[in-house]
Amino acid sequence: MSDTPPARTAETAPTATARRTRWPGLVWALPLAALLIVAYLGLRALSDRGVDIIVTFASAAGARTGDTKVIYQGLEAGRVTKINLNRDGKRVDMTLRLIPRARADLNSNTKFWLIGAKPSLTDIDSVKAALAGVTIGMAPGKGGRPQHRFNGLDQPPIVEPGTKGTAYTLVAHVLGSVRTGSAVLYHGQEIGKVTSARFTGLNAFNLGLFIYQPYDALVRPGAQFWTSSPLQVSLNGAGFSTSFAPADTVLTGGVDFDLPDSAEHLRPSPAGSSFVLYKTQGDAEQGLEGPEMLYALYFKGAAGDLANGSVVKLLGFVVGDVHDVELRFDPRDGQPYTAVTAVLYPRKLGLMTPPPTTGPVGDGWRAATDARLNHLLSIGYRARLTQSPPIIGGRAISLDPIKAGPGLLATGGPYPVIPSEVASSDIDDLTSQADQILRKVNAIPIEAIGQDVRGITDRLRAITASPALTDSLNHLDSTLGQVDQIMGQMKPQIGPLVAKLNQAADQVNGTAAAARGVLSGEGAGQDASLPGAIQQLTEAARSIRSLTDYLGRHPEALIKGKVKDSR
Amino acid sequence: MGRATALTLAALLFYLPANLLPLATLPIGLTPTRYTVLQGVIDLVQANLWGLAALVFCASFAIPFLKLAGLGWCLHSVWRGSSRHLRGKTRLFHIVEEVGRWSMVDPFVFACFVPVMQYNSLIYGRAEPAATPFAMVVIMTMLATRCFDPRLMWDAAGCRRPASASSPGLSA
Repeated sequence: MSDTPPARTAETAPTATARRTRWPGLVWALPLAALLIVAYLGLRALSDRGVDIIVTFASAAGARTGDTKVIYQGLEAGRVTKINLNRDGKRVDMTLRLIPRARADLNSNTKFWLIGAKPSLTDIDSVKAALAGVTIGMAPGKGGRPQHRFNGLDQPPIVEPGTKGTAYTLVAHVLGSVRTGSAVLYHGQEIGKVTSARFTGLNAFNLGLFIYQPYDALVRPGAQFWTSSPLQVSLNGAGFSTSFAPADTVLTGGVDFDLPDSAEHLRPSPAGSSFVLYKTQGDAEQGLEGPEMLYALYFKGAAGDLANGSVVKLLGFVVGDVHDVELRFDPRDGQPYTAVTAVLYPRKLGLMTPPPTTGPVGDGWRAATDARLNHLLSIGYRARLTQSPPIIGGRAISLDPIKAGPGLLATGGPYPVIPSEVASSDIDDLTSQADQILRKVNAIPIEAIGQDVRGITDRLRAITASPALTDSLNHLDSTLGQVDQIMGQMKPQIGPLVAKLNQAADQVNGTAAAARGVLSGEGAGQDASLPGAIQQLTEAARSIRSLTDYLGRHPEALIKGKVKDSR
Repeated sequence: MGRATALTLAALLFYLPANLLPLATLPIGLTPTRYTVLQGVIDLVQANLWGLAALVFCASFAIPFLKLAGLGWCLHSVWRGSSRHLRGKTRLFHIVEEVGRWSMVDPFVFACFVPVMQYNSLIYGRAEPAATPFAMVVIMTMLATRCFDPRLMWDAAGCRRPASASSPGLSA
């Protein structure tokens, strides 16, 4: 590099000597630094490479290689690096590259799920994810064995894994608006979620519940669960009252929870305890329905409004439900009637334990319930159609005491038949009341009254038409004329008479004033001695009173004289 | 000469991460997407934007590569005292020198637009780790071309030929 041509003269020019150093020059620090930087970047890329795992999902749901993130606690924990069809061709294998720190959390309890694959209005995150592309959620597991293949969930788990709380089971006849993800509310506060809803057989669903940590202590034997309705309208003495459920519950449905006062001292139920999901709070408060007994009822009236779920009441208490309503025709005369199948709950009829029987358990309940109903029928109870509140209310069947002879359950059909009220079987409650009123109106003897009235008027007419009455009227007329004459004669004398009377009254007035002056002593002092005399009289009265007092206490003083107070 | 070699070597080293690491995050279809240079080209091709793909490919990948290759060839020939294609190499060097600054387009674009593209969490752009090495490649190659004197190739070639007869060790 620094070689000088040997042709130059040494005298004129400064000599430059070629110097060979081992130091190659400062500029070589540049590639060295570049090497260091590149090595650092390479090493960092290697160490950040993270851990590759494979998660199998039902669908890729728009996940994109390199873009789709794995989110853990809101942080990016990795990305999708590869998406392939599974070997069976039905599921999708996603290769995720997670941050190295995630390595410790990968075990068989680790969960992965797609966020935004099925956007729902109740989950704002999923809506956002649906716009910005799906993400994959992750929850590290604890205590499982390490593994690198996972089965991913297509929806975020209802309860974030690792949340503290307790799981319970609810048994329900009808799901209604309750579904997976519905909130469990305690006085409006969300205390848990419905984690699963499973069909387990005819009229039976099993709901998994998860109650969060501080609230799970509230779940005790006797806890009440019922389907919360988005809008409650109740009619009571205070008028209409409405209450709305929280907005998200309207969308997702909800389960209301309450703890009766009687359960406050009980210990919390263990995890996995089973409870019944009732349809309404009223049902829940009435408690466990227990076994169910089916009965048939026949109504000749308009019973078609009865719906599945209409209630059967006894003294206003719900003792059963309508299960089935059917229009039938009498084969003999073709008359239409309504056949109702209703279920009665022996527990609500006050039968707590089944009487011992030799047959199956149900037989005991059946016999006891039949006995209870037969007794009611024998004292005059019958089934009636009612409507509460009248006209607009829902139809119900009520067991009411009516003045009927003793009755019995009719057997022969598939279920025992509870006889219904004959009179009101033609018309419903309201019209029967109207009928009663009309009947009472009918009972009023209007005709007799009318005849009486006519008799009175006839007699009056006879009186007024008689000549005696005319005669006496003429006489009265002349008498009045004479009175008039007398008055006319007296009129001039009345004036002076009144003046004289006035004079006399004035004189009386003056006398009275004079007397008052004398008595009060405020007159012109004509007789100043009068007040003095009155004063003396008063004093005399006082001394007489003291004398009588003294004599009252010491009657002997009359004889012995006044006792000397020597002591 | 040594300076040019050192700079070229540094540029070559930086060239690796510049192409292997993601260059930038850009909002493509509402999705923030990380791109390496080649990934961007492939995506553009898949979107049937052939012209743009060719442009990006040339400006961001091919030109730096060709610059490095050309410089490397020139330097190599100086070190070896090769006399082949001297005319072509000189022309190549001038092209490299001329075209060098255009590689700066990518870092320039990022520098201009990244601060502007911050709308919300869905739409944003960001320079990624490869951006710095990429800029370094461009700067290093530009400096290297500045330091390199093409006449050295001719000198080296000229020295080499008599060197076969006379004293060795005067090259380089």
